[in-house]
Amino acid sequence: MSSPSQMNNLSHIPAELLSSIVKHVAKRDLYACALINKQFYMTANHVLWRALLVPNHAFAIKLMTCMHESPLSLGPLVQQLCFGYLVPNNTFMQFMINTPSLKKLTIHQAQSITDGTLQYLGPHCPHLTSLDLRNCQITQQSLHALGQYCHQLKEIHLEKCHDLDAGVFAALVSCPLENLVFASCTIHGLEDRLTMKAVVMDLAKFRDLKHLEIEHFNSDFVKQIIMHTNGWLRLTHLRLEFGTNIDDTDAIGFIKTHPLLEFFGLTDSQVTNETLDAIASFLPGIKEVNLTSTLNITHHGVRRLVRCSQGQLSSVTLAYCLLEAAGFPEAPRNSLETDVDGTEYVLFLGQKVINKIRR
Amino acid sequence: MSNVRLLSSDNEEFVVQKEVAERSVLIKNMLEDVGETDSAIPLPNVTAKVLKKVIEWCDHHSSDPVTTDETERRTTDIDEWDQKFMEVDQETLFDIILAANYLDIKPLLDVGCKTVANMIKGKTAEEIRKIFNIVNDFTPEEEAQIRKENEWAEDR
Repeated sequence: MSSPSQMNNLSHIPAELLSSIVKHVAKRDLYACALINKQFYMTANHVLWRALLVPNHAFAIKLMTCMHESPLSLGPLVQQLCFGYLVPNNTFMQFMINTPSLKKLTIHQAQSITDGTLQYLGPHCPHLTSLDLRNCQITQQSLHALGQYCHQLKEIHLEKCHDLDAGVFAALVSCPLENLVFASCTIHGLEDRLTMKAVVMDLAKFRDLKHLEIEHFNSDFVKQIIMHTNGWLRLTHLRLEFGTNIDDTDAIGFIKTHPLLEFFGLTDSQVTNETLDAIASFLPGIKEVNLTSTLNITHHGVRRLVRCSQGQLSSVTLAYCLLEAAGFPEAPRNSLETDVDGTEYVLFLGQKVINKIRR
Repeated sequence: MSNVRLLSSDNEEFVVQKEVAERSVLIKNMLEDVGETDSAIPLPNVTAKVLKKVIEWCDHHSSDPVTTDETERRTTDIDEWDQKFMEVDQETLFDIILAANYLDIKPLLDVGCKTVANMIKGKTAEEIRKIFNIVNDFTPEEEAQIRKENEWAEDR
């Protein structure tokens, strides 16, 4: 190492320290940083191109032009790509084939992107770790290609995707999935009970799963998932909607076999205070409970859950549980809802109310 | 509370509380390796002038909790005491950054880097070169090329 007096200027600072400085530079200042000198250019340009947020088409075209006009290969610097508009199929394809290091892809308005294009996502972007697609025509074929090429894929969020079929999870079986969200999607073939069981068995094979959310699916499918009680040893976050035919036996069985749960969300189910007692007894790390539209619980059960669960519990959601405010005199006005006939119901218990109930 | 002796590159000795000196991961590891020792720890990369500043910082922050939270570290907010502490000439500022890096004191390194990042805020490349006395080593063609490829980021 040279003596400090020789390196007391920003232009003599080692590259690793320069990147520590650039890390703290705001996005809008990176453009200027890249133009300072060659050393700054190397550092700032990497940060500038790492995560791209594309809010509109004009910007997408500008980015593509910039990428193509550079003698350097800029596409490989891109690790995160988020389209905030209805991106045309061709435009997305141009990005996809030019960003081989892509790790995280987010497209909320994916209506125009064809499954034919998405079939090449796996081969072109094998380093993908996170995929968030909404309103997308993605099918089995594309998922299969993802499973084949993307062996680091940890997160999948699919929303309003209606062209999926029963092989959806089998296609991804070689991915180390930790985080899976399926919201308002259609999986064809679930009408058949045997097919449904097979789909749940495939889902159970993701042994690394930590976070599972299934929203707006049919209630039999949801029941099959919760009856699968020896699946996900690392699961910390569960949110299931429409558990209409889930009872205490199902729910308690699941709770007992998933002791790491921190977030437990089960809506529209038949569970009673017994399940609440099980949460308090068997989930030492529980932080949030969401019981929206659970009609068979009482304020006694909820208060017992709050009093008996470990110290970390910070939120209990009770919307549409028809629990009258009189049972929770600690709850402030903004956590209540008034019915047409003037009855007040409690919507949620926050940290302060929970602390008061415990006292 | 036991004391530790530190020796700067220009042979000045500093006696510091062990707890204060251990804000430096380098020193902490050295002390763990050698155990109880009476001899001074030599720091051949840090002058007395800079070491004095670094000790002043460690002393003020000796009871801070150790944070590893990336998001907390990424904001450019600097607390008032640190801002005052960093009101030094540029040479000293960069010496502190280099010393914090060598001694492995992450929170001090962060404060130093944030201070530099704040000096860059809202400036053009030409203004930044002037502030830090940096030579522009691009040819006009190279500079034009970079403007072109990063045009999308110019007014963001």
